[in-house]
Amino acid sequence: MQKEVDIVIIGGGPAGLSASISSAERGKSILILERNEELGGVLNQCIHPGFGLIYFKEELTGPEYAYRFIKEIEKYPNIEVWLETMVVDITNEKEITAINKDGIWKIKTKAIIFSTGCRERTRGNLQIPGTRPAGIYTAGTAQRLVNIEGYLPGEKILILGSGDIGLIMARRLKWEGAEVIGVIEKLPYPGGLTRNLVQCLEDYNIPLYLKHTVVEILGKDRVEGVYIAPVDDYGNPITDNKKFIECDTLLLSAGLIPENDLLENINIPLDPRTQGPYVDQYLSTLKEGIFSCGNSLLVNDLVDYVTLQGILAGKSAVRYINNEINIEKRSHIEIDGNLRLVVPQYLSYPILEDITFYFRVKEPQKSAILTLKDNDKRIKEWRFPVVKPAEMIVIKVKPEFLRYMENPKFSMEG
Amino acid sequence: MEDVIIIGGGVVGSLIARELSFYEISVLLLEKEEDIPMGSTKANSAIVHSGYDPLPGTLKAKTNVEGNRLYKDLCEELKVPFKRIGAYVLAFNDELKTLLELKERGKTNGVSEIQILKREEILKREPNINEEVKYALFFPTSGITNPFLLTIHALENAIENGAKVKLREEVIGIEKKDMGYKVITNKSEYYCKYIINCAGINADKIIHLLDPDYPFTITPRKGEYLILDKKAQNFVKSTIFHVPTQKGKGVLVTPTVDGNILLGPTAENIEDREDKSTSHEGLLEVKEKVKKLTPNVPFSLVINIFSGIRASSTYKDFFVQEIPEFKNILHFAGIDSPGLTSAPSLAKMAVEWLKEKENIKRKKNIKNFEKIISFKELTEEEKENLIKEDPKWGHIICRCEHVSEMEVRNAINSPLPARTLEAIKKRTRAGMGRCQGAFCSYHIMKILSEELEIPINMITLRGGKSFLLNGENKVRWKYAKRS
Ligand SMILES: Cc1cc2nc3c(=O)[nH]c(=O)nc-3n(C[C@H](O)[C@H](O)[C@H](O)COP(=O)(O)OP(=O)(O)OC[C@H]3O[C@@H](n4cnc5c(N)ncnc54)[C@H](O)[C@@H]3O)c2cc1C
Ligand SMILES: Cc1cc2nc3c(=O)[nH]c(=O)nc-3n(C[C@H](O)[C@H](O)[C@H](O)COP(=O)(O)OP(=O)(O)OC[C@H]3O[C@@H](n4cnc5c(N)ncnc54)[C@H](O)[C@@H]3O)c2cc1C
Repeated sequence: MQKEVDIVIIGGGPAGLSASISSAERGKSILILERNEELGGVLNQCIHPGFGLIYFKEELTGPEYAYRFIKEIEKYPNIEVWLETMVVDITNEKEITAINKDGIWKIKTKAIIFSTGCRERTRGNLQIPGTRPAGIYTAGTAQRLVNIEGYLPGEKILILGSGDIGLIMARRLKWEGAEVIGVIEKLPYPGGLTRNLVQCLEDYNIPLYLKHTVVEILGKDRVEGVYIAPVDDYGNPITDNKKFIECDTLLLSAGLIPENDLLENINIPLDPRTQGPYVDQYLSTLKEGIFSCGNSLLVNDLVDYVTLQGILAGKSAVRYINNEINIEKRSHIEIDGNLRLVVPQYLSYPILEDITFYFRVKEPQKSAILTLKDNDKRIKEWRFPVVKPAEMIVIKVKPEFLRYMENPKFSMEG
Repeated sequence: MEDVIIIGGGVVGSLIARELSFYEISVLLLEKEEDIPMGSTKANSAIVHSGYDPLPGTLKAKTNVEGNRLYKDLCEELKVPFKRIGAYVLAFNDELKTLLELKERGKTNGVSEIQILKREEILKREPNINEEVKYALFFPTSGITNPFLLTIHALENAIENGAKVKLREEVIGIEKKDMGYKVITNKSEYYCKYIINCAGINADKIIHLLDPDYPFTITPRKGEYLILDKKAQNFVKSTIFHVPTQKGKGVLVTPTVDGNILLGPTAENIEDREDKSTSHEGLLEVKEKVKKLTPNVPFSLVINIFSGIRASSTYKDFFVQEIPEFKNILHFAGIDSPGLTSAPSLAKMAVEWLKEKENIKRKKNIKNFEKIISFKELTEEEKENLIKEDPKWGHIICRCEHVSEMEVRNAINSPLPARTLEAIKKRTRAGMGRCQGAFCSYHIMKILSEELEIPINMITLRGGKSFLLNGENKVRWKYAKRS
């Protein structure tokens, strides 16, 4: 079956929702394709508060945050939503193949916005040896089981990885009556936000073992326990000092991977550092007319940023269709020092508006200085009392600091 | 009273069941696990070997080459993927002599079209092979298949043709009776004229049920593997081996029929026959060894690790015999590599054996295996038509492998019903992709619960007590008591 619209948005999480509103406001026909039964993406299972402090200046739960946008899109007759619809392919000519209960759809469109979110790292990715029993879950799957389906995965739980989802789940499972033995983290510092460490672990006396990892899983049918061991400074486990921990469930909260398989299928280049596509300040990928935002662009810690990226991508898609984006030159942004990633990775000139840059650092650092240089010329500097890998750094830069640069480079030093 | 009881639903038992179901006899297959295949057939390299490796004159050599020839038609009949992608055996030092010997051995065994290649040609064909390679043998007839589907479809086709299958029944005793044998399981007793022992790693235990002192023992030997994401798909196009050593064909790199890359296996003798764990050392060994074959393996793309257990025996060759005092029981024991390849040929041997004993007649109407296998592989028109027939075809629940809800339901409502998460995975690939079931497993658990009409806390990963949800549910749902 055939269909034609101005803009197709793949993924109806917070990124896709805000993108749809910002492009619908500008008068285009929009189609959101979402594979789940409902809009809202991962927010539906995040029933804890902590969403919207920046965007709405109030603290909401995930579903409440999503609901505000879902209500809003109902006002726009030019936004169409297809649920339980899976996008399985796209072509370079921007033809989308999607499957749903009505059939196979070929959708022609002028612009595509990717807001497909991310997936979690699995036991296989982490290569944890041992047996293969039931009871090994990613934290997000466990969250879905508990908060949406209403099932408890197990009774005695150990969590590997101190990412935010793991921390939130530690508290959630404790509330539901499970015994949460602790959180194991390979790095010397935690992976999640400080507020989650305090509110989810410290308040409930759940121990955090830094510089430790799970070296073996035991149990034939169901997890019966694991061996944990300290790791040396290079991250290698010291198995001589391994210790048995009895548990029936191992939750993995050891990182998220942006979901960009469809982009890869048409060879749109991804940044190995973000695992999302390379984009410029319009959030345009290196293929004209294809945009990216939210967790498929880079793993965000706060949904507010996801929303802002969605709004920008929606606006850019409309401008692209209206031929309002005229790029004369482009430069690639390099990073250095303690910086692990930057988004956007490209600047397209001329630059007419403020640009928001997102960074993550490699290691925690006190009194850090972020510098923007062109070749060796210092353009601007920002100072931070502390920076942490878990917390994204967000800065807004005015166009006057962003006149044409041949070799723009951000670096972070002490 | 059955004519034939088959013990074990691995690839050997299942293909035998299928062959025998084409005759006017009653066949019952007993399998101790919740699903098939669960033994060696579940975790191996899935290579349909050409046949250069076994010593000439052995049963291994004969059935390997014959099995390889039978694969193409068999896989077509059973709708199982099979690809003749060829295999290289690499020599790095002065192993040219060994290669030439191997070539001779291959020829003696009846392997056709063997080529000997020099460095430039090898690297042109497979740029990811170690540049230090000097020579290689290329075996174009070597192939790859999907052992799960082969076994499941074979047994389903056997059922369609009248064979019976009892799962969760472990054979624990065999008694000689006047008219034949009494087979005792953990649940029941059965009488039969003939027994075919295909109990894989436990085939020696079955022999010892008859004669505790019979000199045949299996030494389980474990092999560990890593599997790479489909993103690594084109890393190699054919199977890559090193020249074989005393211990076997060694660690290999191969594509799978589904487009992943498989690395392994190790070879380690173990005590516990059930020990399918992986180890840090084992995985490290695989990595070190594959680096020798193909140095740039993208290890960051590992999506899964697993191990399988070979039923290696003191006998060296496949042990396919009757024991003199216990006539009418045929043992297929010590079926280690190349057992998957040889299985179609071994199945024919079982038929010949029975024909010598009894005048068995072929059925007039043999049912072909007809089932829609992979939705993903269909043409768009075929997909459209199916969705019109039932919209559940259009509901994709496994995002990585694009498996539809209907495929999952069909796997449950099939001649050999899938009852566990792993059984669904083997039949449909749901959960085998890069997210490893993080997204689809709860959907599938719900469908299993609905179709099988059992509470969700009774759903297991692979039977036994491998419950996916543990303990009292304190959240919302009432749980059934699990005794
Ligand atoms: C456990 C957890 C706790 C969090 N806690 C907080 C918090 O306290 N405060 C805060 O501000 N933020 C928090 N976040 C972060 C925030 O929820 C995420 O950053 C945000 O939801 C990401 O939005 P998204 O739209 O990019 O992705 P998602 O919400 O993941 O949405 C992506 C959507 O795309 C759909 N999709 C993907 N591929 C396809 C396809 N091929 N076809 C059709 N549809 C597709 C998916 O089904 C999904 O609905 C948390 C996140 C998690 C996971
Ligand atoms: C690591 C590894 C790699 C290999 N690679 C290859 C390869 O690439 N190519 C190749 O050709 N071959 C290969 N093989 C060999 C091949 O996998 C085996 O030869 C083949 O799968 C054996 O099949 P089977 O039916 O004999 O045994 P199995 O698959 O082990 O089946 C035996 C069945 O019997 C059941 N059973 C056991 N005891 C009882 C009982 N008492 N009552 C009821 N049921 C019972 C078991 O549960 C099991 O399901 C490999 C093997 C391993 C382990």
